[in-house]
Amino acid sequence: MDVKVEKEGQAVVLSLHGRVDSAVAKGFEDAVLGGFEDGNKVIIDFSMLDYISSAGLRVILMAAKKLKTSSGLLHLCGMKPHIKEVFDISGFSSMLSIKENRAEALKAL
Amino acid sequence: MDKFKVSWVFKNHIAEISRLGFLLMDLQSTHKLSDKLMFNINLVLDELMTNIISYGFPEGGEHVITVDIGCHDDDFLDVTLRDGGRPFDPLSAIMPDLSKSVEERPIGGLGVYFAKTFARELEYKYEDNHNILRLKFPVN
Repeated sequence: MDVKVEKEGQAVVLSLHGRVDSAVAKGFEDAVLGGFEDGNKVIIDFSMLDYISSAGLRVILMAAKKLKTSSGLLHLCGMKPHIKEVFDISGFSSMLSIKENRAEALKAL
Repeated sequence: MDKFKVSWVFKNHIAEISRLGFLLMDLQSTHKLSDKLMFNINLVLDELMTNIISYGFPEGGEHVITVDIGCHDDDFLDVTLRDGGRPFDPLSAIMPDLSKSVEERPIGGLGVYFAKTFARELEYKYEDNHNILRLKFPVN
C-alpha cells in the first residue's frame, strides 16, 4: 500500500496504490491524514487501488469529517467497479463526492 | 469449475490479514476464479477475521483461526471460518445506520454488513469451544 502526494494547482491529490486492508490501516491513516495537512482542497485518486476493506473506508470517512470541519472540499475519483461497489453498499457514496476520474474531480473543486 | 478444498491456518495477528489476501490471490490464479468473487470473499473474511483478532481473545495470547474454502459444485464456494475465541455470533451484531450524514455517521460497523450482503446461507454455531461460521459465495 502506497499513498503518493501531488499538487495540482491549489489541490492536494493523494493517489492510492495497491491494497488497503486492516493490517495496513494505521499506515494508511497516517499517510492520508498527514498527506493533506496543509490543504483543504483534496482529491483522492483510487485508480491504482485494487482492494479496500472497511478499515480503509474508516480512514476516508475520517478525512471527510476533518475536511468538513475546516470547510474544505474532498472529491474521490477513479474507482474500479469492485471498489465503487463497496462505497455504494456501505452508504458512503451518498455521503461523499465520487467522480469518474481526476479531471472531473479537479473541475469540481 | 474444478473441485478443490483448501485449509488455511492463521495466527491471531492483524498482519495475517495481508497473508489472507495473498493466499486468495494465489487461489484465484490456480483455479481461475473471477475478480468479483475473490474480492467479495477477501472483503468478508478480512472483516470477520479482523473482528476475531481484535475482540475474540481479550485475555491475549497466541491463538489460531482457520479458514476452509471448498468448491463442490459450480454455483457456490463454501467457506468455513473457525476460531477458539470467546463465544460471539457475528450474525447477531447490530447493523450500521447507512442513512446518516458524514458528520453523524459513526466509524465502524460494516464488517458483518458486508458478510450479509455478499454471502448466502450464513450459519453460525458454537461447538467444542469454537466459533464456527459457514458461508456460501455465489460463483456468478
